[in-house]
Order: sequence, then C-alpha cells, then structure tokens
Amino acid sequence: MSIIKTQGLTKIYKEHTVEVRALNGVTMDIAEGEFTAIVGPSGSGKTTLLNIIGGLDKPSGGQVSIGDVDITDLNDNQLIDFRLNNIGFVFQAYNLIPVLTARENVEFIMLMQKRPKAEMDERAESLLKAVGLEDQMHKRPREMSGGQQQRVAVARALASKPKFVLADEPTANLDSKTAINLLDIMATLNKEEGTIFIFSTHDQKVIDRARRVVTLEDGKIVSDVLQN
Amino acid sequence: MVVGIAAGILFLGLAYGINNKRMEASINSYLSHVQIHHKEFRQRMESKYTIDDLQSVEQQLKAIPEVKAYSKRYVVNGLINSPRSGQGIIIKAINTGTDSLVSNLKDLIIQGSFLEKKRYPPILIGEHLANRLQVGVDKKVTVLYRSNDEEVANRFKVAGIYRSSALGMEGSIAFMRLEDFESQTGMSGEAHEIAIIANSLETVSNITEAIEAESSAVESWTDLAPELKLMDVMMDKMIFIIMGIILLALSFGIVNTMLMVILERTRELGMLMSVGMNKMKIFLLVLFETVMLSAIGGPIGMVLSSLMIGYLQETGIDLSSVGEGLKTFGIGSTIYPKLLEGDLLRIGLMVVAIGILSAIYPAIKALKLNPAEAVRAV
Repeated sequence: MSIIKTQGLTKIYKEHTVEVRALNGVTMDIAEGEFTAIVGPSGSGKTTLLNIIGGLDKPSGGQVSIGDVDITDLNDNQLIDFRLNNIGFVFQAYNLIPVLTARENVEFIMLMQKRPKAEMDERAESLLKAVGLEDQMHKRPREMSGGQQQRVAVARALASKPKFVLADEPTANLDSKTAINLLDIMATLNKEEGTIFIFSTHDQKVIDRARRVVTLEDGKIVSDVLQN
Repeated sequence: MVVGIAAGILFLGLAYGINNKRMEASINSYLSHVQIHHKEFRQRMESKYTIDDLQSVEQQLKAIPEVKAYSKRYVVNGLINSPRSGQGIIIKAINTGTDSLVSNLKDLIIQGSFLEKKRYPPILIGEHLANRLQVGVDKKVTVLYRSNDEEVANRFKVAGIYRSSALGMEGSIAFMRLEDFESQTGMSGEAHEIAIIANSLETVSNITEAIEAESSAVESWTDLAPELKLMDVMMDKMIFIIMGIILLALSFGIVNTMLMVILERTRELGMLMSVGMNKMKIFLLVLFETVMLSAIGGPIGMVLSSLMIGYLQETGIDLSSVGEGLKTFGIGSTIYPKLLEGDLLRIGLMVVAIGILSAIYPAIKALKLNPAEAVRAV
C-alpha cells in the first residue's frame, strides 16, 4: 500500500530573469517498508524532491499525499505539526544540537511531541542501542566522530515514530566504510521498525544497498529499479 | 554589553555627582535651603526692610523639627574700593557663630582667616573679587553702603579670601561680622535674612509650609536661585537624552550579537524548524536567549558600576586639570559620583526592556529562515 504519492510534481525556481525547472512532472509512489535511494547527478532535483516530500518546500505544481493527507494543501503551521509527527529527517551535516548529549538530542524531538518522560527515556535508550551507541549516550556531538554523529541523527529521526525518514545525502560527509555501516544500520531499522527510508546519494556503494533506486535527471524520473 | 551598562551607570552617577556638587556648592556656601526676608526686601534690597516679626519667626523655627540650623544676617548692597579698583557688591553681615551651622564658608577660605576680630573690622571676599581689586589678605579696603537712608563708609581689613564654585558668588558677595554691622549702622536685634538648613533636601517644603509670617517671604532655594533649579532640570533632561543614546547603542549591540548568533546557528535553527518546532517556539527561543544575555550582562555591568561608584564616592574624581572650566559652571574640581535610590533598579528594568525589544528583530529574522536552505547553511 502506498504511503507517499507524488503526482506531476513541478518546481520552478526563478534566478533573476531565468526560470530553472528543478522538477518536471515527477510522479511516484512509495509503499510501506520501502528503503529507497533517489540518485542522479548534481542539479537533477534530488534535494528539491526530498524537500517537497518532506514539506520543507512547496511545489510549483502537482500534489504530494502522505497517507490521506495532501500536504500541498496544508498551511505553514499545519505543515510544521505534520512534520513533527510524521517525518524524520537526517541531514548531510548531522545538524545535532552541540550543547546537548547524544541522548538529549534524541529525546529532544519527543519533548516537542510532549511524550511522557519514561517513554522518552526508554525510546532514546533503545534507539541509541539500535544504532550501536549505547556507550556514547552521554557524549556531546563534538566528542563523537562524524559517523557516530550521523548515527545519533538517525536515532533522532526515528524518535518521533515517523511514517518515513528522509535522508538527504546522509553519507556525503562520511568515508565509505562508515557510510556502508550507517546504511546497514538504517536498513536494519527499516526492517525492524518498518519505517520507510528515502535517501538521496551519489555514492555507488550506498546505492547498491538500496532496495529501490529512483534515478532523476533534469527533474524527471529516468529510471525506477527494484534491487535485490 | 557589560561595558556599556557599566559605563552608562557610571556616567549617570557622574552626572548626578556633578549636579549635586553644583547645587551643594551654592546651598552650602551662601544660599542655604530656605531663606526668610521681608516681603519687599528681595525686590528693593533696602536696609529698612528687615524681618518684621523676627521673634515669632525664630520661635517657629525652633519648633519645626525639620530645621537643622538657622542664622540671621544683615544684607545690603554696597561698593567696595581698593586703591586700585572698585566694585559693586552684596555685603552679608553674619553671626560668625551661628552662620557656620548653615554655611561652609569657613572651609572655603584659601588665604587668611575667618572674620577674626582685629583693629579694623574684618571682611571676607572672594578670590575673583580680590583679583579684581588687586588686594590680598590684611590689605585695607573701603566699603560704602546705605543703611536706613544714611551712607555708611568704613575701612575694613581683608581678613580672608575664599574660593567657591557657586555661580557668581566669588565676584559679588563679601562677608562681614554682624556686630560690626550693628555698630556701624546702629541697628540691633534685627535681620534682613534668615538662612535655614533643613535636615534633608526632601524636607525643605515642610519648612516653607510650616512657617507663618504675614509680612515675610519664605522661599526655598529653588525660588531663590531659579537658575540652579533650571540647570537641575536641564541636567535631568541631558541625562535622559544621554542615557537614551547609551541604551540605544546597547540595543544595537544586542541586536548585532543576536544576529550573529542566528547567523552562526542557522543550521541549528533550520534543523529545529525542519523537524517541527513551531514558529512561536523559535521566536521565544531567540527572545529567551536575548533576555538571558541582558539578564547576565545587565547585573554584571550594574555590580561593576556600583563598585566603581562606591569607590569613587569615597575618593572622588579629581578634575583639577579642567577645574577652571568646571568652576565656570558652578562645579568644584573634585566630583563625587552619586546614584539616586532606585536608580539601579530602574536601569535594570530598562536593560531588560531593551533586551526584550532588541530581541524582536533578530527573532523575526530567525522566523524568516527557509528551513530547507538553513539546514544546508555553511
């Protein structure tokens, strides 16, 4: 069953007097439990597509439905609320809060959701354990390696129990070994938690680990392949 | 921020100190807090206008608890002449015993002594007048004045020369002994002026209201020297304007700091917005941080400035290098900074208010961030 549906998505940016078509009629469905890579060269529209699916940007045309909700119809405040409860984000530069520990960074999202303290403690602990950081819980971001920080970011993205996690180039700042390790963790969580993962990447080794690979070029889907 | 607040408060203390010094210089030397004259006296300055109901007034003064001390004086216009020059002056004949309770004239003497009885009647003149007459201590001068329609001319010996920062005093007021005046004029047990010192500036109005004397004018220092009051008001306005400028600069400082904070933390704010922190919370976050900045910087600045003012209140700031210029404005060369009660609290509240107001622009700026771009900010 499809959770995310995009229908004829277009996005046009205006740079001075020139119009740049970042997305040009993207229609795709993403079903429950998918582990999908969006790939393509720079400027192909990967980030724009993820931004629009994540409700961070509005399309110039077309629709995005998540579950029963057409998020293109939501106003800013509704979108903020929708993002908090339905979407997890992993950013290329980790974007952890530097003054908080790993555990506090994970709990922070649940705090915004006003979850009970006991639940926050338990979930933060289990997620950090799942990403292999049970012994790093009390460290601050600057005391951790890039790979460890990104694993905290993955745990944080999952903390809110989102319908799906969007990861824009999550491995771009990591070496190959760490990148593959992170992907393996994400794949395991995808299986165990049943959360959809959609990530953009350039890295072929990372692409190889995805079960579905959607390739964009000039804002259009040029291939959509299921892998073993 | 800390330096700004400390400098602002120190400036305020200094301004109050200067103002205070200027007022004190006049009040303590010749003006006192309250003066009583015959109703016509100040208009005409004629010797016949002595205080009518002197005994009753004195009895009343003794009964008013706010009166710290009072002293009777004769006051006449006159002419002082030295072999070199002459000058119109106001002559105040004072009781050397009681006048010390209402005036610090004794302390202002820089040469000679305080009206000690000698062969010639002693006179005390200001440094400015001494220079103009080209006389020094122990030199003789002739003083001419009218008393009850009679010309009185006497030779005096300059017993002392005083220096005062009170506006105009040095050049125009000379002091003689009350008993000399009475013996020269034949007047006795009368007075043109009663100078009164109150327990504090705040109780001056109680005294002026309490005295009942129909044919006398009871005036406070603000009525007697409206120019002092005017300068007081002007100083207040100046302080208000300069404090405004300092607070404005402080506000720019806070806005600048917070804009830098937002610039440095664009990615963090972008992340918070992306993951679902609502706009009100982002706004409050920036507001809170700014208020915290003020709440930490403000008290440190206040403590620093209080310490500095506390220290300088004891030692004073010696501005003798520019003392002559200050004297022109009726200010002594050593300034003792002073803060009024509640000033620190007022400034504290103003700093917090400025902090909150200054937070609004950076907070709005933060709200305008595009989360999708902000998370990728370098």
